[in-house]
Amino acid sequence: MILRGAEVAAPFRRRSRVLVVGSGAGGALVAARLAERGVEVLLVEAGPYVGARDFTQLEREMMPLLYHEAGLRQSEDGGITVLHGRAVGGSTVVNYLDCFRTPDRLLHDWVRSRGLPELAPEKMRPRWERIEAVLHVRKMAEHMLNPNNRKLKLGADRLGWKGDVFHRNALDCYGSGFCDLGCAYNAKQSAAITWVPLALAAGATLLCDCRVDRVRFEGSRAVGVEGRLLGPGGVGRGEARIDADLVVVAGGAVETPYLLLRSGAPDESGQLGRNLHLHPATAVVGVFPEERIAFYEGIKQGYYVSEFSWVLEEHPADVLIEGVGAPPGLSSAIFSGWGESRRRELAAAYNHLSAVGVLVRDHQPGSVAVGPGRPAVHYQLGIADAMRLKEGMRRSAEAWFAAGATEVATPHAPALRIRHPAQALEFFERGCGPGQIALFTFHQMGTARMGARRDRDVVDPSGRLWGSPNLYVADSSLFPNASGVNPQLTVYGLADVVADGILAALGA
Amino acid sequence: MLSRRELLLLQAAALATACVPPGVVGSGGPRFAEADRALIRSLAEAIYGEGAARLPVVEGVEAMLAAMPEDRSALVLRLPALFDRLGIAFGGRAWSSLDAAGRQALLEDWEASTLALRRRVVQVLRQLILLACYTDPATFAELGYGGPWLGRHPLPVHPPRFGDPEVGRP
Repeated sequence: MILRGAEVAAPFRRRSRVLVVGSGAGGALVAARLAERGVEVLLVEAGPYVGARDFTQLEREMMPLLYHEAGLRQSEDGGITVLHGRAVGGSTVVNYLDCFRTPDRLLHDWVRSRGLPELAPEKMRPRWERIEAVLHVRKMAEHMLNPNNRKLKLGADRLGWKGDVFHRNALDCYGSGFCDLGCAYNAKQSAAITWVPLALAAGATLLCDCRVDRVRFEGSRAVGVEGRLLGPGGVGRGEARIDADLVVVAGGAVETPYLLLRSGAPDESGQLGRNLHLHPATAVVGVFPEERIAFYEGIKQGYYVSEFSWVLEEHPADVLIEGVGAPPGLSSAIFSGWGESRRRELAAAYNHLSAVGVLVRDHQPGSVAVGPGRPAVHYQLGIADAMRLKEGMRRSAEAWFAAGATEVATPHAPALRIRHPAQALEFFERGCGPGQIALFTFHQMGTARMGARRDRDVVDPSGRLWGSPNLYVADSSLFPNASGVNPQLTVYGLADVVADGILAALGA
Repeated sequence: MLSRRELLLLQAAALATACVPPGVVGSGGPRFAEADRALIRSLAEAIYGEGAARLPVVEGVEAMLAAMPEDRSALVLRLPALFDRLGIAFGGRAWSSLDAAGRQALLEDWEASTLALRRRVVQVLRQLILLACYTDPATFAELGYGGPWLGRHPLPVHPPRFGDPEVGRP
């Protein structure tokens, strides 16, 4: 059953055995697994329930619909733009479908350093297999690479770098290139068209357009939530109060700590909201004046360079380089300069640009705190992480030149263009602070990290909040540190572990 | 760290900005004050280039503000005034008194500033204005961007593999 905040009678009162807050990868999977075992589940989502028929492929319509703060959420100092999805299905509706199993090197680290034996690679393997079957994860065929990703592969091959085409959760993808604005063809196997329907078919109820403001506690025990039903335009139209025997919070690594902190949730380690990792990313653009690239067309993320990744190749640079494209609004940030000369230059070059995203596995964390009516993301790029970013940018420039680019541009301010790989050393002269370079994060992780020690970790190895008998977390907040690869499958995998923990606790 | 001079300038600018009536957040959403709307239009000319006057830039930025939390949108509503006042504080001349070359020089000066606040102000204005411009379909053609496939390439929507819970819904 689907209920909508705009349609149900206000005030809304309901009781459910289990209440799941957030319908992204983690929440949707947990809801489905519990419902399939006969557990009564109410899945609550602040965003709308939208599907293929709603996706217009226009940024100005989709960004406010599908992203928190229309994709303009920023860290407190404005140094990084924080993009994450806000709809039934969460960020899986707007991601680029990249599917990495959590690298074994990272799992071994988590087992050893956080006391999480359930995350051993051999124990995770059957989970990946089940999850990938639902998501229809397949390695992309190389002939599907668009010109942008082919250029990246060409550059990497000429330099002898390791890389590969992505595994993706797609079925009969047309390659329209609007993944970041929602798939209008249902090719993307997002949580909204996989785990959510599975949960509903098994008897779960979905309440969308309902913002949860507070988890209610009696002592350390979660007894339900309070929130607001949202009408058209996200305007509050009445109270919602839901009682539950067990509460699962799965709003993502920004919204989850924000909700728990303002609810006064137990925080025995004092680490709730801390250890925020963002995979800070920026773009490096190659100019190929003689060829039509059109980086926004086709499958935008098709190829990645793993050569400099620690989790994949044990390289100390600890960066991942991925082909990327974006529609004009999002990509307007990647071409610096001002006024008419910038406009003409961009218009002439736009279809001849190749782009990669340089993604840093960040070691210096930030935090999420309670801001004025919103989460406050505190994050500064650490010195070592800034060096990783610059090294990743230098390597990306090298790849573009190796592929035949005549010029490489970066989103620095003031503008920076180079015409030779050696000039990439100039990246190391530039700052990475607020207003000096456009930084983005598509991956937020770690603010309620999982671990075996209640004095050090926020949730226990089953996903239960240390200090509470019945509150669980099931999203990327659980990551002990940055995954170093696109986190979609890791979220699903950890949520699957949490689902087992909940089922055991319920005796279901 | 800020220098003593920068701190004094900031304090002066903050005081000056506090005296400026900001835009309002009414039932129609955030709306810039009239003077700020004119300032944004002229900023759009300097940031986007010629042709900005033909685009509904102010309305586009206001639409984005509607999706922001109130404290953020209130801050952005004050940004044009802050930019204008700080321009006087730092350069001695108001934005409105500069010709096109002077405006570009001012923007370049701000983006290269050692003071993060100045860089941030122009970065935010630039980001919002460019987003408003380049998400407008009127700008797609000059980029050679074809826009949505919908309507251009009729392709069937795949049936969801696990059923469509919305089937039967009007």
